[in-house]
Amino acid sequence: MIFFVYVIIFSAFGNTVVSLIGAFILGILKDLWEGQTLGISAFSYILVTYGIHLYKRKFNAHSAGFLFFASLVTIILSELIGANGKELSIGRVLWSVPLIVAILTVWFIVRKIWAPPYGGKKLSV
Amino acid sequence: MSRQRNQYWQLFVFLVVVSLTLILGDQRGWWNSFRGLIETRIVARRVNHTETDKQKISQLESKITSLENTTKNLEDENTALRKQLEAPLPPKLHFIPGYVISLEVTADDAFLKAAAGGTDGVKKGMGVLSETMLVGFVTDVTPRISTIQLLSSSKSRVSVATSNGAKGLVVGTDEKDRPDMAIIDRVLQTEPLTVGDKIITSGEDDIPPNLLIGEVSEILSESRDPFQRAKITLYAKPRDLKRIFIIGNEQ
Repeated sequence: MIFFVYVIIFSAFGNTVVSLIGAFILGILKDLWEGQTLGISAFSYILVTYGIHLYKRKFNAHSAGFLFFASLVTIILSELIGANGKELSIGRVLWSVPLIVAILTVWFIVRKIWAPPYGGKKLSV
Repeated sequence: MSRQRNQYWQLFVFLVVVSLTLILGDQRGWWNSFRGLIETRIVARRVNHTETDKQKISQLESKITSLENTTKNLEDENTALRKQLEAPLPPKLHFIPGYVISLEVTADDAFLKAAAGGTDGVKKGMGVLSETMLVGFVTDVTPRISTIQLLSSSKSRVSVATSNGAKGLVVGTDEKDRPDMAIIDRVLQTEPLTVGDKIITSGEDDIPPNLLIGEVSEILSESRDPFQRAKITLYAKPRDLKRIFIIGNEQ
């Protein structure tokens, strides 16, 4: 669940090629570590990354609102698919809300601290 | 710009095809040798061999409970003048040992990951023990790792009997974060069910009978209900488990 949020943030702010390859590698490593079907996480992360890439082409993907909404929708979809026809675990979905907010808050704080002054532009004398 | 977009699209399609090939291959066991090699290293990292005092005490307590059960079985068998006075489990059973890697408890599921997999002979549906206590059933297997659904999972179902002879079904509980709790359900109103009753397997689910499960801790049903229900405290404490034994095929 937490990895989806990271993948979305990375896709929104990073280079598309790097994001796609990164998402694929992250998915493979996660499946190996968790003992899941190999490739299943990689597949879902690639779909999410490409979805964000398509969105980025027309709209601003850097807004906190979009990142929150995209993370929540992705988690709900993954839970629905994971439930495999059984009842959706509402508890897990609700639990994801503070998790997403926490990760996004940390991300924006870190970004604010590390952002170069004057938007990264060199000032002319 | 258009060329770059085309490049993204090609990379996306390529990675999707690779992922789908990996999924298909994994389900057909094409990568088992490679995966087994990697999982051997992962398991070595994830299995923690050091035991805390609490875990040691818990293991000793489990051993005492097992010994008590063994003693009772032996006494029963003595009374009945049976010839086999050894262990409560049939000696022809084959056990596959495995170290516990992790415990995962969600709102509606509870499972363990253990370092024993397909290469050790583990298959889906096999029962899992700690001493003579039933822990759960194998639901997923990779070459080196098994996923074990605990009895406390809401998806788990086991046919059981009580020490007073009542028959029922142990199902998981919806209570959050309680991997050591379950519910005994489907006990007829005419059968006796009281707090303190011991729950054992009845042997109807392809697992040996008389495996310890837990003890009735609270009666939940009322006399007007069609069946009796009760909360049970499981003997096997998943949080303290270090090693489990998977019941393999009979030798």
